[in-house]
Amino acid sequence: MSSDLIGRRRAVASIAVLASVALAAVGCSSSSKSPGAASGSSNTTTPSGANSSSKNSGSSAPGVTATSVKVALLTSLSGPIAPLYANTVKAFEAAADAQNALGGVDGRHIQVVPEDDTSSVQGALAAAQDAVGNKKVFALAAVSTATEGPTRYLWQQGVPVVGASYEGGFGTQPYTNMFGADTGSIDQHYPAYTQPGLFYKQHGATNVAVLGFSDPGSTATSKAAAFSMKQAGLKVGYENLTLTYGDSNFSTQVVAMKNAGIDAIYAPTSNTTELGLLQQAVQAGIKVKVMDQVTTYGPTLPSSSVWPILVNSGTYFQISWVPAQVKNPASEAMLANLQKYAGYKPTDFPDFGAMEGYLAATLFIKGLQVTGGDLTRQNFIKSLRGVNNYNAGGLMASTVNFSTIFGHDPNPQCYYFLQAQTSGFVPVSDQPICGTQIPNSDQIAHPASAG
Amino acid sequence: MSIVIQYVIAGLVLGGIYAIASVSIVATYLSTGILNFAFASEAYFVARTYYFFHTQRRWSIAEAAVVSILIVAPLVGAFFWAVLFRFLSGSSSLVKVVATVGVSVALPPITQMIYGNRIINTVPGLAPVPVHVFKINNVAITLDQVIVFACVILVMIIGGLFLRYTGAGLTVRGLVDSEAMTRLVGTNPQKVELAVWAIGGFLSGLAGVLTAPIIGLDSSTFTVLIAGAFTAVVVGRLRNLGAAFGSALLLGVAGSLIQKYIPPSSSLSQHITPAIPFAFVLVFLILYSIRGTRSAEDRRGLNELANTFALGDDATHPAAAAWSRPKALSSKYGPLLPVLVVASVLPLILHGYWVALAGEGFAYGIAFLSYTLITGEGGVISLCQITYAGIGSITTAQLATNHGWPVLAAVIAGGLITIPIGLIIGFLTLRLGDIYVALVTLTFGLLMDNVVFNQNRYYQFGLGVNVPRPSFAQSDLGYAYLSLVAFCIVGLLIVNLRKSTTGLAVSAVRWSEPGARTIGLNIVQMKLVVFALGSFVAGIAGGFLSMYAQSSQTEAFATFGGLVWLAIVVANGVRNNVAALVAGLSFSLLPAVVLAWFPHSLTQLPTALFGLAALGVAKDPSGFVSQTGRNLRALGRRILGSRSSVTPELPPAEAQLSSALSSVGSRGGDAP
Repeated sequence: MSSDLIGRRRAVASIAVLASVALAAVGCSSSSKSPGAASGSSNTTTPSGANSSSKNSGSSAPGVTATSVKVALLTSLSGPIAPLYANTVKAFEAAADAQNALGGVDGRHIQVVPEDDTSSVQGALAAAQDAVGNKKVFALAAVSTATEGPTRYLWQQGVPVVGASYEGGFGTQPYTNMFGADTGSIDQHYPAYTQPGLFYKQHGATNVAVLGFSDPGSTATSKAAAFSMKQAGLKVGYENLTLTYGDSNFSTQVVAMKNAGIDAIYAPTSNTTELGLLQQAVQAGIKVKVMDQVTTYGPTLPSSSVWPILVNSGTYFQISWVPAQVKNPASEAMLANLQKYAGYKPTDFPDFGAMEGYLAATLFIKGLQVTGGDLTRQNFIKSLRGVNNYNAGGLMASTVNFSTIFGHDPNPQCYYFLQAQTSGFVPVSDQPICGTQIPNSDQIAHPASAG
Repeated sequence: MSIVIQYVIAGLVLGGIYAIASVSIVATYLSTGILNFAFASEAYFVARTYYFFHTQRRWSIAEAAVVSILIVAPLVGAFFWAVLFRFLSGSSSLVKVVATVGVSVALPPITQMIYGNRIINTVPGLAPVPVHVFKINNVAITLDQVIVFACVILVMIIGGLFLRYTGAGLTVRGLVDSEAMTRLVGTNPQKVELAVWAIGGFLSGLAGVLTAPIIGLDSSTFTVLIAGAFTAVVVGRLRNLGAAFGSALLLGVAGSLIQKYIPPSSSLSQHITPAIPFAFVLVFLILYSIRGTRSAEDRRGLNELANTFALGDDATHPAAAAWSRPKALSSKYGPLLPVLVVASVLPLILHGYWVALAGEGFAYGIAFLSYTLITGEGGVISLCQITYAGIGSITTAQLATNHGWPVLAAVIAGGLITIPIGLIIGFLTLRLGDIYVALVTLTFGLLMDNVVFNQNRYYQFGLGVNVPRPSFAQSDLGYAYLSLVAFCIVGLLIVNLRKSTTGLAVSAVRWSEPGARTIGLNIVQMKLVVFALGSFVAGIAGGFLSMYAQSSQTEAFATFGGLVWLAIVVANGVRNNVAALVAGLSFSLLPAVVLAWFPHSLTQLPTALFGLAALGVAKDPSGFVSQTGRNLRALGRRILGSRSSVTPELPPAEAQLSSALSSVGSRGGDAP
């Protein structure tokens, strides 16, 4: 039903995804707490709270017994996107194992059922059907670029979905059964935020090149970023929204960028595209003062041949969770769990896919905790929708308010930033850097989606 | 002016990537007579092998290159010759295309199963790191890119001189033209073919290793690159190395200059950039159409159609011929009835989501019937049937959800809207030959993927537009039977078409174009009939598939997915309605079975198997279902003690037609 070839189009969408993870509105928060202070919220980073709520009264829900609850983890185990999620299952299971070691939640141990979306929407639908219809899971954790495939099916079945909020149902009515574990939800109006423009200005950029893929999500993200740059008083000397997934040759774009006199690049696309752009711009003699990469942060990068170029260009990396390089109780607890249950070495840290897996597990555990002993799908969804200041116990850079149901209240958008240095990734700050939504900007980036 | 020159130089870099691929493809075609659609997959496999040795095993560039390009790549070519291509020497271009499509489908998942998943940020080339950079008119050119150009020129010069001026080259060209004549002059064609395919493997491996640092190491990007290279192959008319080289460079320069003159942030640029390859193809097709005649290769390929799917023609096989006898109902519909009975009870004996999958399988069966029409009946390979299905899907969604049409009316409208599109593509390509049809339909599919299907009006951030099911088929069971009924109706139409005057004329054209022309049939008109019907049925199938997912998700209709469709339908039998049904159910149920009961490491196995199964077309173009039918009948005869041999028997009308065609002097291979 699926193939690597089919996955090509999914791959195109996945790029918008990756961009979205980094850039899309955190949305949904009415919390008055600052993100930095949110780590003290009711949530805990390390899965905990075993037996913390009401007594297990048993349940007739699918996948639930008095001693266990079954959750499927939908992710790409094969196909072109699979390398991105090579460590997702391990990280998800590590979080679940840590919780199980504490006695589970309300006496129920978490059983994880990995499902392969084969990097395609059809594969994702088949895998979700297998999980729900055949393996009778209670809920689905979706760390997949193809979650749109089964979105409607899962909604019809009333299955709770937690996971990576890329595109599709994580921000669209009526899919209120879906909970973004990384950013809460995607605001499909793609409003612009002050943060990209201010960050670039602060770090010396004057003339920025903004590039993006040609699919709707990526285009909207890039337009919003360009608007943010202009609002900050920067010149956007070159804007290109025609890239496609797999583009790694940027000779033409580099010629245009050089002639436009740009000194900074913003291209929320994919790892090969971001790295290729910077490399070829430097080779062409462009002095890049700022390039903020949103898809390349990971443990293998410093040992790659491109790292010296990143160091010489002072490249920054933007992520929406607390990086391992920031000493924070939340991240230290996560690393301890990964070392204990997933075989990480002390020098290892989670990459993008592992982090998404860990965050999805953390949100699922949170849902179990707030639902309590009377565990039904309906109760889980209703209870988790009541959570209004979630930040994965301090792992996330921003807080999420699930109760607004895709209300997309304007709230601070926060990210951690690191810089490429000879020693590796070095945090710019121990605190996230935040920006606010630019008023009336939600029609600028993607007018077609508004309404 | 100097800025324009900069853009031209930048465009040449991209053109060089297209050139290494297109020149290698043309060189392989010249040496083997096969347009290798698996070129991208083979290139990807070798490039991944090079990465494995160089980066993962830390071998030196020279060691990794020697092993990958000079040993592994030729071995890959020799392997596929041994298991596949050596059986294709007498086959038509259609069988050859299908066989290479099978390899292209099977190889990427096999590669992933061998080398595993690994995040690859940067890919090393043949140039040492840090890669040296040259500046030409202020444009940066890396040593890797220089090596690409050097290799393209070497391949062109050495390949051209070898084929044109050496005795060995003459032997290779002679073998492509006539294996029999090659034998007559005392040459062992097997040895020559083996050497040629080993060299073909080397070329694909070289192209893979050279381009990987520039395009990345991802099977899907390789396939996209080769699709672009096919544009140059079309312009070069399959066998002109120089024209392929020049047009590849021109393609790159055109793409670059467009970015100079049209702001790349505009929606106009978003539409024009991906349309460049199709525009190229369109312009040259029109030019070629105006010039009129086909090349000798095109004519030869078309004449060979007869011994392609004539072999797969039911009427030529003993068991299939018996199926066609106008005798008792049980005999006439022998294989059909039991399969339909099984299909009918399938939703009743299955439970839960397996019922839904059966319904999906029936819908896929409808889609595969479109291949039965266009490839099985018409003898034409269309690589954009899935695109027609996508057009049908988005039309259904728009009419049913946004304009309030009854969904079944919308489905039919979705089929109707594809007819003029199919006719236009058919009209432009049919005169030029079947390989051109395959290439142009592939390019058209990619155009639709990148220009239409990703419009947010249809895409809706991946969710697609909702497609309701009819009120009487809301349940999975209801949907399954609705799809089965639709399959039966389309199947019945095909059966009746075969019996009709038009159907006989279509058969005549498939068997022998010269013969059909001689008896006054309009070849193009007959082929356009199957183009129209094939696109209509695919459009209908798109509507049904959307009803299954209850959403029109355009990503499900990506062009390269259509290669898997083609592989599985050909593996089962492209001239057989029952085979379409079996293929549909296999396509739906087999991956689900693997998901449910097999380890995750084998999830890609069904795709690999679908591709590998298509390779069976080399030995038996009639496909798995017909072959199984024959085996079962043979078994039945043995059990019943009937030892009498069955003489191939044609239905009366087709027998007369065959006789008529033979009498007008069609080539020996054309007659069934």
